[in-house]
Amino acid sequence: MIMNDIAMMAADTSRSRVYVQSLVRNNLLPRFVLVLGNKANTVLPGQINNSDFENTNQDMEISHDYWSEANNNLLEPIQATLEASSIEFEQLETTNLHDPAVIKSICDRPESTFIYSGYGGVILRKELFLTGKKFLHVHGGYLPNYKGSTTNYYSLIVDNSIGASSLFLDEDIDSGPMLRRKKFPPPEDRTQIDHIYDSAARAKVLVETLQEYQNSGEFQCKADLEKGETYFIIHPILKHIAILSKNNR
Amino acid sequence: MNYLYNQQNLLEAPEKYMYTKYQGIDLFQSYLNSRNNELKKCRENISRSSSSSLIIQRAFIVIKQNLISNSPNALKSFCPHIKQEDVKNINSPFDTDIDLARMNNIFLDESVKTSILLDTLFGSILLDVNNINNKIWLDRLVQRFEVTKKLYEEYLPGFRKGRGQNNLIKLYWLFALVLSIYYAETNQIKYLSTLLKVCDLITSLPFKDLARDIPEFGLDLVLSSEIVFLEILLKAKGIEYDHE
Repeated sequence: MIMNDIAMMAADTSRSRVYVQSLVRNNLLPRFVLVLGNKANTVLPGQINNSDFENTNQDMEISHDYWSEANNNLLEPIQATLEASSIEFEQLETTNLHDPAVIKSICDRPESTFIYSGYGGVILRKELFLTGKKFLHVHGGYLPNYKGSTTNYYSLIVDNSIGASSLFLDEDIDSGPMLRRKKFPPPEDRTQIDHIYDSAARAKVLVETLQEYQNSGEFQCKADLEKGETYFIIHPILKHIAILSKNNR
Repeated sequence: MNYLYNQQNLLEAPEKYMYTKYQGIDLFQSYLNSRNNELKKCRENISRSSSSSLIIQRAFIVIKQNLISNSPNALKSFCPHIKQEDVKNINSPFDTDIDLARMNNIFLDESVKTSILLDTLFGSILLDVNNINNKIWLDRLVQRFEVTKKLYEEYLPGFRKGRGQNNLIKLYWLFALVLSIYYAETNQIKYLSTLLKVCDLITSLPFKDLARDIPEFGLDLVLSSEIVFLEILLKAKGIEYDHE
């Protein structure tokens, strides 16, 4: 079913691929997708090296409903998924969210809400909020306890769980208002968190958020997120501890 | 395997740590080798007659006391080369009134000298780790360092824009020392993550510059603390790796 008031802004990243494939699988189709392409040969934060995934078994046994969105084809270009599902899209050859062409494209659309899936490490600036649109983001972490970056590695060390939380973005980091949040058990293969399981957890919460929106006709804001701890990109030594931890398995 | 995260001068080429590659369990040994090489240089460089400064002795006591309380088995791994007779001579380690007054005289709407902030934080954390002002100001410093990968000599009102030099090694060392005592007291992993990055930065710099700018025994204490914190965490998580 096409959601008439929902569009999406999608960088060409593994997360965007997972989001679009999950939305299609769950019959929650955005009316329009703005794809931000990366013309350069360099891999940007959030993008995959295809060669790293060519030998990965992408037909994983998903033994738990929590990981229902983990079974995606990360090698399938986002454009292919959109074309196969007849979802209208426009591709701009820029990776800059604040490029005037991006702002104009968003302004010109009638949808009030854009699902946000940008390149890693980018913070939305005022220009985007001045478009009057709402930006629906799914944070990779359980809010408000885990704000900021790479929080699922921190929560694996501290709580042995990972999380995802949907919220409307504002100019502060992960400060709400929050729509939905969920904790997930650690995945079997923790080496695949960056591109598979973090994205799958976010996609699951995105799907549930949109299902709730479909059922009720409105987004249900749960709480503002003023409190909580803000984390920064985890050091690789601690990331390895989160991945290799043997306790609580 | 070489430890990748301090191979080039991180003041000149900052490390962003984004989407770092999984390297397997050997990463721990390569990290330890790298840090131990630096410790070896520190210990070769210390003169026999040197005494450790009061700040180093105080930090040593706090970290050691926390290990005794929380991880006594790790105590044997914590052996920074500090003259134990110096440490025994501290009779009155805390000047509480001065530390408290200084912390209350740092304001967000005024310029802040980073060295004064770090000195004050150090004393104030030792005095009362739960004082919310300690966390607020330490979080501001962590945020500035994590975003810019630098510490400036001074921050303008609002504590966003830095001014002055950003290559003062002593500031990075003092920041690492403050992070070490705060992590020893609180066990909050985010501060260990920042400590690791600051130590990467420090150990990426030429050793002659470190020896010139960091008080004797100071680098030894910070690196020894960082290593023992990680060894405790590795053990708690059931991770065993080959020690060379």
